Amino acid sequence: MVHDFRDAVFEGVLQVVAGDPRVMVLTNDMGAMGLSQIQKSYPQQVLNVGISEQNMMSVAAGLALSGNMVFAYGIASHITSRCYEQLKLDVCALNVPVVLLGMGAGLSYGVDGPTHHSTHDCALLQTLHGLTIYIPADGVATRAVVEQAYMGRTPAYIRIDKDPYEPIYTSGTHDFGLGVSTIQHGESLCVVANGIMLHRVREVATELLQEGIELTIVDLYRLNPCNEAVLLEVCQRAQAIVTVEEHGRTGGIGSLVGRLLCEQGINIPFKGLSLGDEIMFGAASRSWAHVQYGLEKENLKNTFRQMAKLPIAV
Amino acid sequence: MNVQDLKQKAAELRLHILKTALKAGKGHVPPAFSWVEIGVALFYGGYLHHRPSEPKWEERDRFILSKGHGCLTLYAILADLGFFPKAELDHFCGPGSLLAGHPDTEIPGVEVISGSLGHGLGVSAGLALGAKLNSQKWNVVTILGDGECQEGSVWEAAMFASHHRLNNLVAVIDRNQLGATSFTEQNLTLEPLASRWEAFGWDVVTIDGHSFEELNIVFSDIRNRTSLKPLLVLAETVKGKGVSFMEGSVGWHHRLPKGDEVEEAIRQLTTAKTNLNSSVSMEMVHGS
Repeated sequence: MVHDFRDAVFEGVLQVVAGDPRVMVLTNDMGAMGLSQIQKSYPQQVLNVGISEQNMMSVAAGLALSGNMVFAYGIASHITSRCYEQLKLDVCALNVPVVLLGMGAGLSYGVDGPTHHSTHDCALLQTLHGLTIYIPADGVATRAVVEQAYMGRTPAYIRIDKDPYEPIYTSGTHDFGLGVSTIQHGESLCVVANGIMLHRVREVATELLQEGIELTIVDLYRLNPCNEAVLLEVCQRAQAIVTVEEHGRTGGIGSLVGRLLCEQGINIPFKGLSLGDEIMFGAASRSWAHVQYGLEKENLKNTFRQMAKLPIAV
Repeated sequence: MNVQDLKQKAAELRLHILKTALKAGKGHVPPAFSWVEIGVALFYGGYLHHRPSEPKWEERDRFILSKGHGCLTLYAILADLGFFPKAELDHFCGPGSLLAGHPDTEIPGVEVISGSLGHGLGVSAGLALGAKLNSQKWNVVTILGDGECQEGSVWEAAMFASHHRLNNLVAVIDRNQLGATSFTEQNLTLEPLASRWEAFGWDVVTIDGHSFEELNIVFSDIRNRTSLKPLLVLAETVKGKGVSFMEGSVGWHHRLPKGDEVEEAIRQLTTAKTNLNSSVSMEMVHGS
């Protein structure tokens, strides 16, 4: 059964709202069926602040300073970049429990044009000390990271996709406090991905198996703070590494893994696959953009084949 | 404190502020001088509930200096009240010191980071809403610069506060007419400022921001407000108040006196303080 990320995130939020009267959910006039259901049951805990992202974050900080925990929901690109300074100074510098629920990861809203592309969000938010960044790949992970964020009581961002996907995790089988999960072991090549790209990587891995190429697949669903200890073990065991993400080239998994390899002196073939940092004009649908940037299935297969055959540099 | 004591305190703090900045060779003195009486009235007049020995006291009123560049007044007040040792003022802007050129939350008594304008009212609105939701009795008082009202986020917060009937929120605008480099009415018109705030759903009271008599009247009411609207105190002030050549003068935003100006500024502030002392003595003589 496919998982709708929106449903999953608000199932998680409903659970914490129901158990804690000091949890508030703010929205910048962005709706969701799950949010409406929470509002119906707990009207005092849901607040539509209007179309005012800057004020939403300052108000969220104020509510948090007065003893509340806040989930702030809106389109990912709007609630991360429009109000960056409020996030920096009012939320993160004060280390208050405000969790951003960013709807529309990457090119979820690709055809809606560049205003709705959230392809720089992780780069921006990784500069904010103390802000945890989650990029869940299915409904189980989404519900789990909502709970993690609630328990953490510190600033966090949950990057939510719009399209529904098949489940990857089974409830209760992974400790989402770890921040990283190896979902498949293989000796030929290690692929680190997250969010929706994890699904395509799995699909490609199944097909490449018939060619004798076995992939290790790592889900880096928590980008910040990155569990570098586990990621380092993964890198040390790998013959070659490819990162795959639906984000700009700067500030995502590729930047993170590339730096780790350099700092640790791990000299293995490495390639980072991502979108570009440039603004994509026009209707950048996923299917179109993924072909342009080498993220489509056949592109991935070719890159993985090539990387699996490269010798390790001496 | 009575009005005479408040006046003396204001005169005393102005000297501290100037000396702190002169020692550091840095600081926004004129924007600090314009809200000295407002700060003194709030902190010494009994209108803000606070505990210097317990800065995070749960029932304290939340005071937000949104115009963070005016922090020399806040530092002088907090040090004088004992939130931190007065000796910290001697290290203002020193390497690694507690007191930077704009305030942050490492400083006892400071609730938020400010200095980038347009943040304070939104955070204050969130605090005020939180107080209401959690049935807390404390108030929120925030000081805005007039130039700060050119920030769009101020008006987002203004709409939010009136929509949610945050009558536990008081915003004071330090209306000194000047921004960083020019008069507000020359670079981006704010007037009619009072009616703009009224149109955004606030109760607005316009006062002389240097008159303790008028400040006392408006602040004495903030704990027992019957109106459901948030309160905007439009305090007409003079930037650089207390030093003639700074007063209302373009160019005096973060410039410090130099050469003969130093002596003259200190002389004027000292004279004002001495005259107040004399008038107290005279009153005592007449009173006896």
